[in-house]
Amino acid sequence: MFAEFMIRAFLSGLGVAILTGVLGCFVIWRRMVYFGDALSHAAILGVVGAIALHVSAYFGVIALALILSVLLFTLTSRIQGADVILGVFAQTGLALGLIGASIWGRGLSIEAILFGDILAVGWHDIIFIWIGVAVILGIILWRWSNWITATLGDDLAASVGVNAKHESFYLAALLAIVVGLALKIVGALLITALLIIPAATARRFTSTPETMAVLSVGFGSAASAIGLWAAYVFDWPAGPSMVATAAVFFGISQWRSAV
Amino acid sequence: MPPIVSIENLFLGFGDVTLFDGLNCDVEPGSILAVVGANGSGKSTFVKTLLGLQSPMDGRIEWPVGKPAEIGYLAQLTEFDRRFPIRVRDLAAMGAWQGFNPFAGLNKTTRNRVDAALEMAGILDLADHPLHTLSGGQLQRALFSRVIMQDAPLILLDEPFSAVDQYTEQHLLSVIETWQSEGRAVIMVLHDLSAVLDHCTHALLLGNGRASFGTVDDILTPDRLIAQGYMSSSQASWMFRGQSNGGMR
Repeated sequence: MFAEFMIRAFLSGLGVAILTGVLGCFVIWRRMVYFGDALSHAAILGVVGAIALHVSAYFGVIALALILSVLLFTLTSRIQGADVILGVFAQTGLALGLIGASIWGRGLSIEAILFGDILAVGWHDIIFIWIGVAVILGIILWRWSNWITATLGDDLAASVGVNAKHESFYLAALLAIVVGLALKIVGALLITALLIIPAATARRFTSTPETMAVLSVGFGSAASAIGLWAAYVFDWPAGPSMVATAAVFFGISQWRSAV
Repeated sequence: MPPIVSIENLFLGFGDVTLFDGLNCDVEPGSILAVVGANGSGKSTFVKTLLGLQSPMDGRIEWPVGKPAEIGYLAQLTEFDRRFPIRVRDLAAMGAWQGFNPFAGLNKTTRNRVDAALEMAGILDLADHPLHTLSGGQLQRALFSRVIMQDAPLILLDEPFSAVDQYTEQHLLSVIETWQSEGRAVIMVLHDLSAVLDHCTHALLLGNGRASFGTVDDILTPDRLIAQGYMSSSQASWMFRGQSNGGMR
């Protein structure tokens, strides 16, 4: 029924939807939207760095995103005006990435980095993403209670012996890895959309954090599948179609809650 | 009985700014300590220091019978994001931290404890409501139920009555007195002096760089309250106007 490249695209989109769906809940609860944006914009530099060093793009992006998350986490927790620091990192990362691409990235598709190229993923990408899904979901389940407590407040976490700063750092590091895994699928400019839109949609229908995470994965997966189908049928770009579908779900959820 | 926490020569502040210096106090089981002071005098910083979130500039905080694995804690209501998707029952259950697994559900014993805590806080009928549907007073009761579930020997309350009506305040004060009767120590940051005078055994008055600790009667005198910048002389004379006829009590 579908060509093999569509099956690969669907499987990779599903994997990314699962990861962004769950982590996106924390991004919304902890107001880390701009943090995710800064990581994804700067991740372009990781792709260019990987090309320059002749290593895997995944390795380059994840390594850079981890370094940046440490830097951002340290700076934003010590300096007032975190949004300014995040904005500086996001735009500088994007600018340096594009400069680096002009130097080392001959033949590199800037459009693919910015907006993803899910139709070009190979089976090795899918294996890599699904290993990431298994490992990251395991870590999320392991830390879930601590992260929920830390989300409710640093003081409250300290009262039950949870170090909120450490937990926040683990979460930021995991977010960096997910940005690295998702870059090829939806691109640097659209990763944040998959992190926030399904989770924001799910929030309308839930009264517990666990159901919000499950519903967020559901909305993200559905947006991924329907967006891919629309891209296939109407010859639209795949990543933007997935995000637009997620936005339609969000719009419906807002309308439903308004009536 | 040894104190739960013993504070020796404590200096608190940030950078070059000292909020107060030389605090010595013991907090005994069954005592209720009111922390009173003007804005910026270091009340919340004192609470954060006891939680271990801030280091003192100098001095020591000793735990003669060992630092409790958990300290009951109620943050200021304004610090709580009520859009977080959680039901009253689940918020209370989070107090039973050691045995709580959100994916496995609660066992029968914990469920019964949650119901008892919600009933004690007067909010059992709202157990399945999400937090964003609660009023300020109902949310404070829900947060109290979480502290009840913590079952801790030391309980810190940061402005517990700042956004609740008189009826709720009275109910929550009765919860605090229950904790006192159970031998727990309660430290609460308060602005309402009448609640302090009626219900607290000890007071810690902060202000103008000083920290005064003792019984409520010894500390909350007009002279001290004026000297430490908590109120003006006219406010003090109004507040203590009935003292010659037996004081506020």
